[in-house]
Amino acid sequence: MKNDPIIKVEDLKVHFGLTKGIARKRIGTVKAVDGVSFSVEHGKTIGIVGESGCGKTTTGKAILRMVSASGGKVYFHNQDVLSMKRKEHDKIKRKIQMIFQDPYGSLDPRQSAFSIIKEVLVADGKKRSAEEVTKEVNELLVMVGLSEEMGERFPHELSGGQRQRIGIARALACHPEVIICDEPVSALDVSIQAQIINLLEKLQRELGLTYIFVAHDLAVVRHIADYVCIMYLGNIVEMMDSDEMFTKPLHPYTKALISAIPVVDYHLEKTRKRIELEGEIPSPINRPTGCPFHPRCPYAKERCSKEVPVMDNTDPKHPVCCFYYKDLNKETNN
Amino acid sequence: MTRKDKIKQFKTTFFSRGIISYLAVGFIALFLIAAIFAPILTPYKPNDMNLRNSLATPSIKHLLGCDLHGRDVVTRLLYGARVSLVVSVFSCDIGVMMGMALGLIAGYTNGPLSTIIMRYVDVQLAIPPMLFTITIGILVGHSILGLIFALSFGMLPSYIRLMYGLVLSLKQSDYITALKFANVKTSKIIVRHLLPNAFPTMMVTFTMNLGGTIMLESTLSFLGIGIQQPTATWGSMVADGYQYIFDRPMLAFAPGLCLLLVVLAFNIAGDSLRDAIDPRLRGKL
Repeated sequence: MKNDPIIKVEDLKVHFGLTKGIARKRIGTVKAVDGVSFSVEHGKTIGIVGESGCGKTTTGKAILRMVSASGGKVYFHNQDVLSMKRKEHDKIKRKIQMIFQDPYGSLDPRQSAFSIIKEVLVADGKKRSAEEVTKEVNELLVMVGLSEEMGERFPHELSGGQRQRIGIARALACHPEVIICDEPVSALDVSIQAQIINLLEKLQRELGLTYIFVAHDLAVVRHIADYVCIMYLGNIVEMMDSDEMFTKPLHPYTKALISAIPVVDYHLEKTRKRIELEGEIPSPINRPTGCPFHPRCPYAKERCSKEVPVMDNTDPKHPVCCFYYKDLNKETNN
Repeated sequence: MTRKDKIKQFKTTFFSRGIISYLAVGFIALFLIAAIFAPILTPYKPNDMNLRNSLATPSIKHLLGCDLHGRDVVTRLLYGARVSLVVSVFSCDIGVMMGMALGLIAGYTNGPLSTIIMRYVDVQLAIPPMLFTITIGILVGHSILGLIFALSFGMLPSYIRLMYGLVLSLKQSDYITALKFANVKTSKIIVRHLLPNAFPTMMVTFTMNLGGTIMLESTLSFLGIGIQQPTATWGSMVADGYQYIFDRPMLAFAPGLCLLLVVLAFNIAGDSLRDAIDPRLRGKL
């Protein structure tokens, strides 16, 4: 039972209809997420990486039922979350929480830190005395590295990092098992990023949390995640252990992402070969035929524009969604 | 923080504009006292005519003189404050409450009811508000109640629109989303988060409108649609007095100045109140 995935996403699809005019005529579909599958084991972290607009945040929102999925299943402890009735969903809702990207917009400006956490804590309906509530909130504040006195402060009196800590404490107040971190550090500066990442890791060790970590910063993801999904235009193109992301990237898109990271060493930067992608990410309304990545792929062949590649599970721990990745990697290795 | 500290802080922020805010509060107080104690403050009756005093100049007996029918201007000003106060405060209260309620329903539910409310708002906004209020005013008759109804009804769509927009943006915000994830009751989210965060904007509009409504009521009286003669209102006093603007300037000038000061005082007080209840400005002003 120990290796049972706590969250299992199967073929998740989120499509938005585009309508026009008063008659609401349907003129197209935005396939924000188009068939995403992954699973996370208890106590592990899965990273979801991709450029803007690839559907990584939407995936997170669909798991929480914040946007309604058009297809697929999300299992939490082997129960399908998406097909649950609202009352059933209310019961397990608090077990999956979210940490938001924007530490400024995610706290009510009219509430003190203490009451932000308290409100979420007491919403479980259990009976507590006033002292117990105060004690629990203060414990949460200390757990995220703030002092008890910080509880009196209002959001505008806190720094970005401190606000993000309040956001984490608020998520923890629900006693969650899974936390979806929606780019929790991308709005913070580098030194604070490290503190928040370390805090998240500490909390994971102490409370046995499972993270779904959505980000675009590869270095951060490699540090915190055990397993990484690379997303492109609503699809997962490659999944691998986070250590292999830098040492053994197989999909051309992953290679391009890795080579886009600037290297500090001047000589290495001059000599290394970078894979430059041309153009923009295509619009999810007019998806390219065949492999979604083929218009920008430097290695694309004729077959790529006609057939849609499926996940190649030759290495079950490292599936890749590309026809020619084996040939490609032969070339580069030689 | 104790209750005493909170009150002290409220006072400091509220009066942070200095002398202006004291004057505004002072004038509103004066306005209230005048309206409530009008019968005690003056020996005359507002509608008692005395043709011997027709167009009398200011004197000790009649501080601002008398109008064409020999009625004391000060007395009529005091009684006129009553009408202005009742009409503006009640119609704005009704307007803002109904507007907030309907805007909240339209913004939060986002279903067919929302479409109905918002389309109705569009229809009413297409009609000039002045024209709309005049029409309603004529339809419901010349009573104070009818006037209040017409005024509140006329300002309703702008409040609904404003509230609708505020609710739409607020309900998308991350902190409301987080509360939903935590199973916090919808009623609690609305009362504790949506309304307080929409309140400052509504408050400012409310006070702006309060002044505007006194003006509108005066305009209606001036046009002869609002409160009927001989009841004293500031608007009808200006209307009557402006014919003698060169000979007896006080007849139009005194009620006009009262209007100006009250509108200004309400606006300043509204701004101060908004500042005072905003925790972001705590200790900064």
